[in-house]
Amino acid sequence: MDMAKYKVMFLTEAREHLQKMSAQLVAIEADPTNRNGIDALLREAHSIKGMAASMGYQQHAELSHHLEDRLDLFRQKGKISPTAIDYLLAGTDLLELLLEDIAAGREERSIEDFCQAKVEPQTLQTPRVASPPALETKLQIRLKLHEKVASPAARLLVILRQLSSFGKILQSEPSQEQILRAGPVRHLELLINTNLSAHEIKACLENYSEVARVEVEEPQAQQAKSVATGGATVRVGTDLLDRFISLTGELITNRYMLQSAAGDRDWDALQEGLGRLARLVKDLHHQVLQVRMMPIDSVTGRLPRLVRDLARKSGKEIHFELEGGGIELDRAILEELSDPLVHMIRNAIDHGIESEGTITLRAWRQRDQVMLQVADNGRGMNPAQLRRRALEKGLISPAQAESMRDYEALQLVCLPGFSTASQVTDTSGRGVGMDVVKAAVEKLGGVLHIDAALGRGTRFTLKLPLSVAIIKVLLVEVDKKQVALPITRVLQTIEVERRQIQISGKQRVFSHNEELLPLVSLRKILGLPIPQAAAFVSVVLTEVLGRKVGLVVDGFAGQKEVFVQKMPSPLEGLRGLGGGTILGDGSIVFILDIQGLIERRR
Amino acid sequence: MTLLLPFMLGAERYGLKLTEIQEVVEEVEPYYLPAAPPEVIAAVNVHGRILPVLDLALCLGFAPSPRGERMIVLSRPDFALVLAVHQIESMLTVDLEQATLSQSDAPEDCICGVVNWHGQMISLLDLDQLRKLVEEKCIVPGGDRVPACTDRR
Repeated sequence: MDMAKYKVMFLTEAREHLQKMSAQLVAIEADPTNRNGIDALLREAHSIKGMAASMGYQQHAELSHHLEDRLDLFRQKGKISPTAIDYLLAGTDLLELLLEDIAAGREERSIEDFCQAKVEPQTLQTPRVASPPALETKLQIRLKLHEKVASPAARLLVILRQLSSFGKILQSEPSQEQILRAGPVRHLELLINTNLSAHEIKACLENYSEVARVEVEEPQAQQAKSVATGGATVRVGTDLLDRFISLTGELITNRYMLQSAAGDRDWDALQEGLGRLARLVKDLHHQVLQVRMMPIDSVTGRLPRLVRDLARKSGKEIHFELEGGGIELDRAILEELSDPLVHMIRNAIDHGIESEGTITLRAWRQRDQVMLQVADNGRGMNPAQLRRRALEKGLISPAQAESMRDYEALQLVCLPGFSTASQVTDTSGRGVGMDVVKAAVEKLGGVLHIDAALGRGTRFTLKLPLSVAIIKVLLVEVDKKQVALPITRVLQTIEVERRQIQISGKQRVFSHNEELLPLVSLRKILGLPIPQAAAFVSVVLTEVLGRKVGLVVDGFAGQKEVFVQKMPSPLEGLRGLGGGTILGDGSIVFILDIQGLIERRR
Repeated sequence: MTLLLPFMLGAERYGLKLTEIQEVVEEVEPYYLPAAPPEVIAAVNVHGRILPVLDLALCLGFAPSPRGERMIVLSRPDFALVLAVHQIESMLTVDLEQATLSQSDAPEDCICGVVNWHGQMISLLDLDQLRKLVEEKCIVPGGDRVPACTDRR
């Protein structure tokens, strides 16, 4: 049986239950006699216990059992005291740490200290958690013998034997048998479980004069890989699977129909069959997208707890509200959003709310986009102060500061290296953060807007596409080549007459709806040759850093719905490139992230 | 014994082990790949996968010379790439045990060994080093200033 598969499922489900538990605990804190809440908590703890026990994770099962017992006592009493909430939250934290141990394949840490502690406030805030026994570590050793060494195989065997006296050799490439058989091998790569340090082993191996090079390190890359592949499971409702089956059936029928129509050279039937095929594929596409959709709730589950803990730490009284948690988004987008959301909420607690207030996380659909907003009713932001600060830090020029409108000044907080906190706090104000949030949103093809009113609060609004796998793009031509822009980043396409374009300093500008907007040439951005301007210029109106900009292209080639392929490693991180797509005729078109392209040219 | 695919870069003969190659493609249409370093000259459609094409000669600092019609698709999942070279020759069987494995005194050469094949030297291409080299070329400094387009009036 493939236990690894069940392990991944267990980890995913257990994390979900734990998230629900801590959200529920925070809710009960405000309403301690909520009977239904206590019942729900008991159910969660019970599910976790059952799952852990059937997987054989003893500490995990024992701790959830312990929490379940406590909860049962509280149910009999009919209420949970605030100190008990702390205790139970600490318990769920410890359960999460145990999950980390299980995920990393380590031995589960001990829970004894925690279970023996009485429900006392001070000692329980942060349970002392025993670190995993640091006796043996896994080390990866790579060594190479000198070129000139005679009978290298024999020498490698000597080294292999020496190493086996240091600990247990888990894996060796080549193995002892292979060395015996294969003759002149000069490399050896192995994994060893040992209680010696990497340094000690290296020193010992370097003593051999035959050894040309030794590397001893902890095999980190492999671990990271196993964790990364561990997270990718999706749970799908059976009704959706049934629809897939029936769609597959219809596609098979359709195939036979097309085959026979082609055999009979019956053009009408062929036409009809193709029409049906188009409908089936569209339906399939829609259903597959459904599989990727997850409610926003799935990433906001831990936020109530986060707000509670941060509020307590900073001595503020903060009420957290969540609206529209059922709105669905592509899982790839949600995964990228989890950190930015945390950051915006931390900002609201640290910089927005002074001593008492409300933070609201709101989600809603707006046509084929999802809006996500983090709002607080705190002190707001002062544009004049932001301008001054950016100027002091040398992030903008005096001329820029002067001509900048208030709305633009608010977007300054997204510049790397900008932080308005006068002192660094534990949670934010290190000058990293909003730029990362903005980059994450734009990488997904979304936009970040910030608005604030002095004394009335700040709102961060994220405009996001529903899906990243299949998106709508505008195809544009540039130097006889095609590239694509996500339609979510296109405000409008216009033809501008050449005489409408003026030069202002080094910048070409044009007037649009009584606004003077800067023009940037896509050819210039991409380093392509720049031709003589024609009488009319094709311009894509887009937004860069919250400001409207006209992007000059050679021509428009229509809109298309495309499936985006990520670039393979090592090109995946290329700034400004949002992936590629293959069009119906087999040609490849790449999707550009204009903001990224412009920023990397600095 | 190991199967080796030799190919020419300028006047030098390089080789890749058969296990490192997925296939050799011929006459594929190159498409424009924007925002890439100059060594990555195009993208091609290989059975529905978009793969970047690396001009190996340019990448290793050879003088520019014509590229052949045939290109090599690498098989490594962490280095999905197509190599454009000058000319691909026919497969050889060599004894890699007899190859001289070179020390990494010049990693930028991307050579992990040299095989003597009937008096001709074939350099073994070091894909790990090549991957590192391409990775370095893909790093572009991020912007830390306001873009010029906000700079107006």
